[in-house]
Amino acid sequence: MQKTGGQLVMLVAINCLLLVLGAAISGGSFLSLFNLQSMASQLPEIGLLAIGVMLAMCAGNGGIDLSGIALANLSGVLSAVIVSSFLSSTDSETAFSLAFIAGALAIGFLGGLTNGLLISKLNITPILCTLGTQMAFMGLAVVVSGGKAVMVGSPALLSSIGNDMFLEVPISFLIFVVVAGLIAAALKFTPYGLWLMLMGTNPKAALYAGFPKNGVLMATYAISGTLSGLAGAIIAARNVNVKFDYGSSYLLIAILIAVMAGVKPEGGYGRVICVVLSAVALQLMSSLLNFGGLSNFVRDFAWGLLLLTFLAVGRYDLTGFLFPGNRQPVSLAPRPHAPKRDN
Amino acid sequence: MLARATSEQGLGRFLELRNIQKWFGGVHALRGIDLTLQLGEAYHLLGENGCGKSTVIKIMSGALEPSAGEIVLDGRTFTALTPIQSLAAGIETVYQDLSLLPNLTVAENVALNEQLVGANGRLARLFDRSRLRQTAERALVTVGLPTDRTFLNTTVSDLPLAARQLVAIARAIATRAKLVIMDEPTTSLTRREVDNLIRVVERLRSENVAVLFVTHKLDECYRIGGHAIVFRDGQCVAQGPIENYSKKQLAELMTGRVIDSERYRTGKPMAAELLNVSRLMAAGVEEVSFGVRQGEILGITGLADSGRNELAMAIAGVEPAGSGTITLEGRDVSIRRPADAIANGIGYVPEDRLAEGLFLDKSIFENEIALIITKLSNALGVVDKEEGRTIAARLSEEMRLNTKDLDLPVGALSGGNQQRVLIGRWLSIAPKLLVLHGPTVGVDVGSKDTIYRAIQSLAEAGMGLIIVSDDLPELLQNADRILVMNNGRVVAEFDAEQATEDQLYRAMLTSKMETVQ
Amino acid sequence: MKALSKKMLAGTAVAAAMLAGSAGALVAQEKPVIATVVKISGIPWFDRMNTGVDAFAEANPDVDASQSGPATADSAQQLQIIQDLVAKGVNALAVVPMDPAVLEGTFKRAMERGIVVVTHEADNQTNTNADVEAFDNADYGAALNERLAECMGKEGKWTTFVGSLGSRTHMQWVGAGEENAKKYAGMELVDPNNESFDDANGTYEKAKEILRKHPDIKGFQTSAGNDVLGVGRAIDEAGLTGKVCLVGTGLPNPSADLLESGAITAIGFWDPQKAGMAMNAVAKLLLAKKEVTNGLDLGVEGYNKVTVKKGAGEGLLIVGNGMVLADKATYKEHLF
Repeated sequence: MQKTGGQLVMLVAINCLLLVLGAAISGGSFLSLFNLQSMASQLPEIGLLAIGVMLAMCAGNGGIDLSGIALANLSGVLSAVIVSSFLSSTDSETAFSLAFIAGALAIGFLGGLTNGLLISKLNITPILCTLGTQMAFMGLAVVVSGGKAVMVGSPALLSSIGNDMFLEVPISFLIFVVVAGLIAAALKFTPYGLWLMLMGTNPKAALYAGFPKNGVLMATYAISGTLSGLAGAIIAARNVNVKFDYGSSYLLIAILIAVMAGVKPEGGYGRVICVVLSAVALQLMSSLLNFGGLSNFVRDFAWGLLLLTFLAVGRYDLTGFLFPGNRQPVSLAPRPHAPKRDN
Repeated sequence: MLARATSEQGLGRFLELRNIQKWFGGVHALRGIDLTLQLGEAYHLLGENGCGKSTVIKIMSGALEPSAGEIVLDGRTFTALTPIQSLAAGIETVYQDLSLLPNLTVAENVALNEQLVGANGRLARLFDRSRLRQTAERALVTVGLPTDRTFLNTTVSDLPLAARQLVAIARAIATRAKLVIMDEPTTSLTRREVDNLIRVVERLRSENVAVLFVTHKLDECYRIGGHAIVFRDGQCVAQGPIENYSKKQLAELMTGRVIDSERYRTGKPMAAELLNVSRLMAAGVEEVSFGVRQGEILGITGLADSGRNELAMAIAGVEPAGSGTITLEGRDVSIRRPADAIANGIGYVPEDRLAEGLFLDKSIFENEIALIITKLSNALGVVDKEEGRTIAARLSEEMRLNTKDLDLPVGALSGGNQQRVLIGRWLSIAPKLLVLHGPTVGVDVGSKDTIYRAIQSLAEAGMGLIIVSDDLPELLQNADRILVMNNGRVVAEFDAEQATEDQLYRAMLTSKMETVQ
Repeated sequence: MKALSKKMLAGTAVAAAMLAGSAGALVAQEKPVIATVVKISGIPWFDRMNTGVDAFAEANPDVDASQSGPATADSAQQLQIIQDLVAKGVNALAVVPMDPAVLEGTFKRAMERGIVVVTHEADNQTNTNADVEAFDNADYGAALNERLAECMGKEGKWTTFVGSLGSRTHMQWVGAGEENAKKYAGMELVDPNNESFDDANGTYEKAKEILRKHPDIKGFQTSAGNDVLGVGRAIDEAGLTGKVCLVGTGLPNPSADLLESGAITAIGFWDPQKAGMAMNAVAKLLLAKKEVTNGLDLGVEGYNKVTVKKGAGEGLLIVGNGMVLADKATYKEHLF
């Protein structure tokens, strides 16, 4: 049974708690506009990857996407190299920016599609497939960039995505929120969303019900890849340079975010809003600890603690304990086992 | 293997339940159960799924504690039993999945329980091999299994199901049990094997062992004899010798409704031919040809390896046929995957509703509309969920689901209701032909009735139906014609109104014996 | 079950409170804050640098100096820490960048906010007020290679290890080493620029691989602090001590055993403690708006007469003379 409300409530509570804690230990500067903007602009690149992981997990059958950050880096590197060869970032700023972003998205899409094809048509287990493509993407990025950082430059449009605000909110964060919203809408309102979640619950029954399984899988990994491409573009926008090995720690962090958001690793359930809040929570905690001057190892410990807390909530219906009014009744009908056939 | 009788044979009160109550959270599962079980008697615990049968069994075997009430076991009063206490007092349970240890031998399986109970649950204890053999031999004799060394050392997973069933029962009585509880023991047994089981039960009774069956198969209850105990909604609504009740009465008591378990088939098939299968070949199917008319119900049966399952799956596109033609309404159709079958208007309700049909964690609503997702979406690609709910509500009503809450996860429903959800889903695409594979396996009497009525009304509306099943009464009650398969071929065809179970059974077996000779 | 989840909630609350408490009350600071951010926390090299930062803090009670760093060798993680410190509003940053290019943007924002930025091991960093180097990187790389060549008898196959292809200084050292080796026709470079990612075990495995692939290899020039240890171990295990030469950057204490056994021929280093003190000293000077001029004495050993050049961007390049090459005979003079 889905403890939808529970997870969401816990995440909101954790976020509020972290904000309060941050204000307390920093004498208020944690909540300063500059810091909120700073944290908000650190979030999108990993938040997008986490959504990609979530979609892959929901597809079921051990779905996961390990190639996210490698593809993001490849998108940035390859797009920069290709676009730089016929456009200059200083002379034709808008054109360069648009071409670069389009290039990154396209490369991300193609990379994701590759994953989708391998997983659906060749039936390769997602974890093995994306492990392989992760190395392939990184290798390709090394070759294309010669192992060095590739300078993207700061043409106006790109630079403003990376640095500017709109109504005091970093533009990259707005992009992230909008994209998350689109995906949430797709999951809620389109056939794809229904097919994805049902398929993740029971792939066999999905087959028997005539679902377009291959189509759904390819779409899922293609979307995940496009999100990676977008992340790559945002990384370029913020850092001005792109490199093949940037953010190697992001892989596990993205998975952590997804699991903490209540996404079922075995498939069939996941909510985008929870992923967003989970990413925010981890970001807040990380910055909080940096503000407090604590070692990064404490951060890893704190994240582990947070994850265990969430797993405990999921297991023991903590919200029922905290808010007795919402206690969920235990189902009466015993779980029937299918009568055994001996053939 | 004599159990100690507390008084004269047949009058020993072994187990008494007094006003047993059980609450699960806010749900009142058992509302004051009073039961008496005597040694040497057979009892049949009847009731729909969710009526409390499993709960009361688990209380007897110590797996659950009652919320209130008393258990009087062998003269001693308890408020609750632990599994070890229950085993030590002589209550053994043979569950539907047998709970045997497949990698151990027959002797080890049979005698293990005794050694465990003797050790009172302690783990560090020497394994007494000679005692093991003795215990095993004694028990196996009672159930009619061989006792030679070879058989004792056979690994259980190598045995056929019927033999395993008997091994499980042997294990139950090896510990000098006084009460053996059997949960749905005959679901997967053939007729001959059921006969053997009945003989075993007789032997147990003669040795003063009480036997409690939990079952859905009313016919067998009459053959075995004894007492009927009927539960409904957590209460015991009837207790007495089974001869005192007719099948109709029992069904009424169980469901609270009037159930007519005679022939369901009401209409007549139409003239127009709907499906024609010609020389179909697949793995396990050798050149099968037959036809189904509009509004006709065709039954297909046979032994487990007769090819009947493969035939159903070939028509449904799950395991596509190798060669042969399938013609629907005069047009040749190619069915390579389930989506092809659906597109052509062929529906398939699979054998294993849990693994192959339902999305257990998802709601009734989502399960019902699973086939019409694209139909419900508009040009923009947005699924009209309101429309979907209306349709799902209508389907639920047609199938008489016992809940109106469409957001309940399907996993929380009883087996019968789950099957109704699944059939309801197929109705959403108004198929021309519906193939039902074992539609009432593990389904209680009330749900069976609903499903049969639904099948009949579908046929009356012009749908063609194929029921692939090994439940012979089911086919005799519902079908127009019955095909019997053996070794991948159709070996006999019967008119369902005239045929008898014996005829069908002989047809399923005869050809096999002939080919052996 | 309920009791258990109650306990977990309580445990979490206590842990959270502890974290909050230990973070300390960082109320508005009166003293200028100099935050040193290193490549990776917890490895001997930067532990040593930490001692320098602490020593500087003690000697300079009018500033607040401390060190932090990411738990993994990931430039993105270092970037996050720096961004949070910028948001927190420190007065100066003293950074050893994992990847200078990645930090350019953030450094620019920091400097726009009036934060003084000082770097180390990043002479190509554009957006910095001053980059502090212990020595000229080309000279150092050549010196390492010269010592290696001497051991190898100026002939034979040799290879190089770097922390990562993005490690600016490492690439400069091995690059200068390659140049130096060109003097000796007999020296043949094979499989250069092996990446170690500062993982001693990974380096060990890679070295074993190379020893297998080139059984006649005579020399290794390594760069990252842990590389000498990994390669040395591999040479030792293969029983090639004395037959294969190994010269690389490393610290005396951790390398002691392998120096004694002879698996490591010589180590080159500069004292990260002194470098850390130098960075903070420069930061303090810049905060006080003082000038750093050629020949200035930073008050730190090895940086008593620094050379000041123009840096890659608008800032300065401050070069000291803190290079040390030590072998079995001499390493005991610098025990850290």
